[in-house]
Amino acid sequence: MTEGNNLNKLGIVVSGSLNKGIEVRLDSATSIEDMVVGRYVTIQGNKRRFLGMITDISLGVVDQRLTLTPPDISDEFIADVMVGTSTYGSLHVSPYLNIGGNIDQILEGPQPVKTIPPHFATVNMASEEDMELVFGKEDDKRFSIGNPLDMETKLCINLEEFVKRSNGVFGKSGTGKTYFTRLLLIGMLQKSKAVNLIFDMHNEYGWMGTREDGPPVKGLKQLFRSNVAVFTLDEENSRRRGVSTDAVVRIGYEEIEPGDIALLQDTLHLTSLATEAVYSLRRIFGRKWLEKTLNLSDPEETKKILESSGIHEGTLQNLQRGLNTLNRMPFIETSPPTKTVEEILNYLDRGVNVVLEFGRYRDITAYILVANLLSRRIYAQ
Amino acid sequence: MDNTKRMGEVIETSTTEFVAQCYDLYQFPPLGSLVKTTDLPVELYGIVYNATTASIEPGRRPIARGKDEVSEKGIYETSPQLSQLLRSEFSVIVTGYRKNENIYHYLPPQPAHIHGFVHLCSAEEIKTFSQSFGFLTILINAHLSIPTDELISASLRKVSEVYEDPHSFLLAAGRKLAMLLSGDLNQLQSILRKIKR
Repeated sequence: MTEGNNLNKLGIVVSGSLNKGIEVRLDSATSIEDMVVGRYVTIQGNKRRFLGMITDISLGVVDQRLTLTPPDISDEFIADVMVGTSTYGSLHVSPYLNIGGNIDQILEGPQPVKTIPPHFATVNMASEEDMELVFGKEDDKRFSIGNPLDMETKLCINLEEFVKRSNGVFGKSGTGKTYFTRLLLIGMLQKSKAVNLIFDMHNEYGWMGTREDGPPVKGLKQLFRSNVAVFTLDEENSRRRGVSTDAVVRIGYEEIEPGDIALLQDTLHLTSLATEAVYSLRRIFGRKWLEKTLNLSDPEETKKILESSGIHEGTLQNLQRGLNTLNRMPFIETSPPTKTVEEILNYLDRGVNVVLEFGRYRDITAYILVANLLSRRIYAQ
Repeated sequence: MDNTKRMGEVIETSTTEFVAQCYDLYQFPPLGSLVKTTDLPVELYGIVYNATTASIEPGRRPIARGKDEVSEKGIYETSPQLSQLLRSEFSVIVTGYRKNENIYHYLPPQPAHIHGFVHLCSAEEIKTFSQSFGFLTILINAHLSIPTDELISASLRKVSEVYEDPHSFLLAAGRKLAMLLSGDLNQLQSILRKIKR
């Protein structure tokens, strides 16, 4: 007659798989409105304990007829009885870690899950101790990035391990992706030896960041003056915003390689033949291929080149149209005074973090071109 | 044994149910009340599901006598033999038994004895017996002359009277029924409507 006295008990496991996650049926005493996606739960199996996160919440009925002819819920008693028995709430939980179990497992510490809890295993809210076991305490290496939903425990991540991996920050708009990324960058600047190159498409990380509800927040340059260099593609825009920039990015025609164009194939609406033609033209014209391709105007010369390289005239026109898009970008110049790529690499070598502001050039072509150009060069060195 | 609660004597018995005759005409326990047989090592618990009053001789039906009487009571006063010629009986469905202080919510190994005394259970006994809702399963599965939802709701109403907080008892019982009757929502709702307070 009496239900479990465990205040944190949410429900029991009813089905699931390691890939697709675990289905948890809520106890009638647990209000579905108290459940929040993103909250951590623990599942007590027979041999081990699992830590997971709520990824979805749904409503179920034992008999589909209930959805067609709902009971008279104006009657409080009938509603009280039906809710949690004939109708129920269920959670979808993604299992992440094994925490605890036998002595060996406790000594090993939290491990990624390789199995799932059995049927009818009890699901509880994760306690503060559980979270501390997983995320550890703040120390020299661990950096606190915030709290789990509705909990006091600090979530700490080991930034040295963090920077060794590929990471992404995902979320719905307005949930604080930018703010969180800035927090991670600040942490990396403080606690790890990694040097960052930040492609700042919306000018949020260098000098000043925006916040949806509140005054602007300080950017990396304001916080760590000597450790951060701000490069800009758009000097005028940066000056207007009052950003003190360290250098202006200028890219020479000669610095653009056929490989960079290949990555822009979709953005520049190039055919695959046009992308192939770039390589032939590079062979014919040498380093100044881009400039020379754009300036091809003499019909005789054009014809000769097309014949010798086997490029169709339509393909050349398609390529020229695409390359003209690049030509219109003011930061691409014939012979820039400095070699930006080398300059950025120099900063990075000296352990200075580089923020590259895009100013007004927010279109995807500029972003892909610059990001790829730089990362390919850095990777090559 | 407290004689005031003694309701009658078993006159017909089987494993699943028994019939008891009342000592006095019309003195049967209310529908749905919990009764028990005593004086044996195994005490049988059951729920009253039916009550009848008829002539003691099956072939001899009562006749109407009240033409010149002003009240029903008057008939019995002018014909005192009636209380001997008629008899009241009640039928009980067996829902469990007690042996060595343990209560079991399933059918006993042996049925009640003829002439076994039948008592109404005390509030304490009802509380102890209703700690488990096992008796509901027996009631749901029984094939009786009275509609199951009527019997279940009557018995739950009766049992809830002994609790200080009848509402939470009925709520817990309702939830148990919702599980047991998940395939028959109409019956479930019919019972719920009858037990709400």
